[in-house]
Amino acid sequence: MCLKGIQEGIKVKFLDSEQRKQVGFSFIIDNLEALTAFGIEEKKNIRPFKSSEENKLRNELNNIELMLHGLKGNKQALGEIERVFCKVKDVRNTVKRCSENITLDEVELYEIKYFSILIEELKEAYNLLNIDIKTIKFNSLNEVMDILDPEGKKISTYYIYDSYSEALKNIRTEKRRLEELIYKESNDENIKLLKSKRLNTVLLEEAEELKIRRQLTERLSGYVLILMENINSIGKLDFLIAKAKLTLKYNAEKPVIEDSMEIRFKEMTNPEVSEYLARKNKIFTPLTIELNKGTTVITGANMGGKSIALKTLVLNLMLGQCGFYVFAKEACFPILNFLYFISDDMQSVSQGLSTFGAEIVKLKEVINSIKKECGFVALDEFARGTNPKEGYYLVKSLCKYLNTQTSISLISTHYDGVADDTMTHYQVVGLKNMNFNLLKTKIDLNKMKSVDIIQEHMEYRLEKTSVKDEVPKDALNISVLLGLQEEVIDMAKKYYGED
Amino acid sequence: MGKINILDRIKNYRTISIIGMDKNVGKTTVLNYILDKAEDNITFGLSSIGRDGEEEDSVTETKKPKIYIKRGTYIATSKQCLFNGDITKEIVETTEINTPIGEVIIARALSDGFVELGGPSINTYMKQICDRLITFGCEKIIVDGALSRKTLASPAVTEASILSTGASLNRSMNKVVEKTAHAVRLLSIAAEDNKDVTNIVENKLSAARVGLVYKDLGIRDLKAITSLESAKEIVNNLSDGVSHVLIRGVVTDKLLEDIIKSTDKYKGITFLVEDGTKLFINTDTLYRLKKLGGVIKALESINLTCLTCNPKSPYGYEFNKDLFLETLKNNIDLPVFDVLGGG
Repeated sequence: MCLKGIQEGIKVKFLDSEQRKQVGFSFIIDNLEALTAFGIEEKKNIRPFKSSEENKLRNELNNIELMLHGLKGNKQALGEIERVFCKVKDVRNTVKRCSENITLDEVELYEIKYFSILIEELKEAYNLLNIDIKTIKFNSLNEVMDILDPEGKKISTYYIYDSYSEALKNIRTEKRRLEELIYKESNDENIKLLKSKRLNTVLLEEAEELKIRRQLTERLSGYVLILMENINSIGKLDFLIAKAKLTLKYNAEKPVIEDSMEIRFKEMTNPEVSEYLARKNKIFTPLTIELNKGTTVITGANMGGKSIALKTLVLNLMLGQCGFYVFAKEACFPILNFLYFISDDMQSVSQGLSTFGAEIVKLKEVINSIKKECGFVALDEFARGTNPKEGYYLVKSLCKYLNTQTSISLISTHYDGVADDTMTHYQVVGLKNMNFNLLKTKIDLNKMKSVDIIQEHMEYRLEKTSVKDEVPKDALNISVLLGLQEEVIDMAKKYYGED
Repeated sequence: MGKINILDRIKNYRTISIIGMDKNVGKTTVLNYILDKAEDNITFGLSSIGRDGEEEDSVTETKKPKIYIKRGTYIATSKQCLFNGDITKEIVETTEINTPIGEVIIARALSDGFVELGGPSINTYMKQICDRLITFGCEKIIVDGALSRKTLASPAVTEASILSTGASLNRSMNKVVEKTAHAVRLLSIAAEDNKDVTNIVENKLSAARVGLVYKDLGIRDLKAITSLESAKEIVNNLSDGVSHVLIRGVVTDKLLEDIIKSTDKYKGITFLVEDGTKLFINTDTLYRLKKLGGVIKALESINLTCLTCNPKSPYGYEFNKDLFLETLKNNIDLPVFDVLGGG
C-alpha cells in the first residue's frame, strides 16, 4: 500500500480528521510548536504505534521523560537550541542533489557549509542537556567544514575560494587587473575593449569554478549519510522538545503501557474543553474511569457531560497511542489496534445517510474489526436517533455482544437497564446529591440564568454504580428546573407513577 | 544656479527606491549613474521589487538590463538572477523569501561586474531585506521599482524615492509631462499636520480600514473589511460633525466617485490616506474632488527627492532633450535630471 493509503487506513481505524477535531486531538497537535522544517515533517507523520511496536512506543515515552528531565532547570540550553533551530534551513533538497552527484552551485555549497556550522553549535547546546536519546545523534561535520572553509576562516559566508586552485587565483588576478583599468579609463572605446577582454576572463573563471564545484560535490557526496543523520536528529530533537513543552504546558503525565486489555485513567482532562471553560470562568471536572475488556456503560443526566467524558477518554487514548504523554494524573492502557468513536456528529451524515443509518454502517465496520483484533470503541448515545423501544433493544443487544469480546467498549446511553451485572456501569453524578428544592428556588429568583445555574450545580464526576441503584430522574428534574410548563410536567409525573 | 545632482538629493537617506513610470525610462541608467558617481568608500546594497508582470517577458526574450557594480557591493537578488551576473560572488545569506525565479539570496561582490536584480514582490519582504542589508553594513540601499509597484516608495519601506520618467511612456511629450506631473502630485500628497488628528488615528483607529474622525476628536470605526467597497458606508455615516475620513489601503477613482455622486457632505472634509502610494486616481477625479471642496492628505508623506528623465524611447522616437527637460522643470516642482544627456 502506498503511504497515502496507509494514512487513510489509519484515519479510518483511528478517528477521521473531523473526529480528531471534535475530541480535541487536533487542538493538541496545533499546539505542538516545531521550529524546523524537519520537526514539522515529524509532526506531519504522527501516527499510532502498532501493537508490534510496543518497544518503540515505550522508548518514545521514555524519550519525553528524558527530555523533560534535561529541560528541567536548563533554560539556557533550551534557549540556545531554539536559537539555532530558528537559523536551520531546509537543506534536504541540496543534500539529495549532492547524493545524486548533481554539481552543486555556490548557494547550495553555502547551505551545506552553514548547516555544518549550525550542527556544531547545536551539538554543543544539546550536550548541555546531558541526556542520552538513542535516536538523536549529532555528528561533527568538521571534515565537511574543511572542504568548504579551506582557509579556516570559520565564517558562514561562502565563495569558490582562490585557494581551491592556482588557475582560479590567476584568472581572478587578471580579472581584477582589467576591472581596475576599466575603472580608471575614461575613453568609451577603450572601456568597450577592456570590457570584452574582461568578459573572456569571466568565461575562464566560470569554467574553472565549474570544475572546482564538480570536485567539491564529489568530495561532499561521501558525507551525505552523515548529513542525513544530522537532519533526522534535528527533526527528532525539535519534535521531542515540542512534545516536552506541550507536556509542561498542560501538565501531562507519562502513561503506562499494559499488555492486558485494561484502561485506567485517574483524573483525566481535555485541554481544549478546559480552555473553553476557563474563558467562561469555569473549570473542567477531572474524570476517573476504569475499563476492562467487554462493555462499560455510562448513564446519567442530560447536560451531565457524558459526551465530554467520552471525548476526553478518546483524546487521551489517541494521544497515548501516538506516543504522547496524556492529560491525567495516572493512566494505563494497552496498544490498541483500532480506536473507533461513533457519535451522532459523524461525517457520514452528509453522505445522504440518516444519523442512525450512518451509525449502523460504522458499527458494521467496528464489529468486523473487533472480530479480528483488539481495540477500543466508544459509542456516544448509540441509536438515539431511532424510536426508543427499538433503540433500547439494539443498545441492549450491542452491549451484550460487545461484553463477550476482548476489545474494550464504552457506551453512553439514555436507556435504563441496558447494563447487566456482568458489565461495568458508570453514572454521571449529575444533580443526584443536590437539594432539589433549594436549586429550584435559586433558579426561580434568577430565571434568565437557569442554564448556568444548573451547570454550576451539576456534578460531572463519574461514579461506579450497580444495577440495583435507582436511576435518577434527571430528565424530569431538569425539565422542572428549566421551567417547562406545569401542565406537561404533571402529566409526565403521572406516567412516572404508573411505572 | 549651483549644480546640484542626484547624489546630493539622496545623501541624507539610507534606503532609496527608484520608481519608474514605465519600462525603459532609464531606471537602470540612473542606478548605474549613482553607483558610478558615488564615492568609492560607500558600501551599497541593491535589490529590486518583483518583476512587474514582466514575468512572461523574462521567460521569453526581454532581458532585464544589467547593472555594473563595484567590488564590495551587496546585492539581494533571486538565485536565477544571481547566476546570470558575472561578478565573483560570496554568498552571505539565504533569505527563505521565494520569488517565481527562486529564493532571494544576499551576496557580496568580490569583483566588479554585471549583476541582475530580481527581488521579492511584497513590500514587507523588501523591508526585511533592507534591514538585513543594513546589518551587513550597507550604508546606502537602493531598490529598483516600478510605478505599478509604487507602494515601494511608501515610507514604510524606503526612506526616500527617485521617480524616473521618459519618452517610452507616450509618443506625445505633453502627455508624458502630464502623466508624470500627475504621478508626482499623487505621490507628494501632503501629510496631515494636525497632530491631534494623527495621534487619534494612530491610537484609536490603528486597526480600522475605514474610519471617521469628528471635529470634537471623537472617532468611529466603520468596520469595513476592504476600503474598496466602503463608499456606501462612508456616505451613510458622513455628517456635519465629521472632519476626517480615514481610508487605509488603496483609494481608487470608483471609491471617490461613488462618494461624490451620493452626497455633498464631503465638502470641507479631509480624506486621510496612508501615503501617496495608495492613491490610484486619475487627474479628473482629483480635480473634481478638490474643486468641490474635498481635501486629500496622507498620514505619512513621501520623500520624493527628484525626477529623472530619458528623452529616448526604445520604440524608435525621441524628444528634444532640452525641451523635454525644460517642460518637465516648468510643470513639476521637483529637481529634474537627465543623467544621460546631462543637465
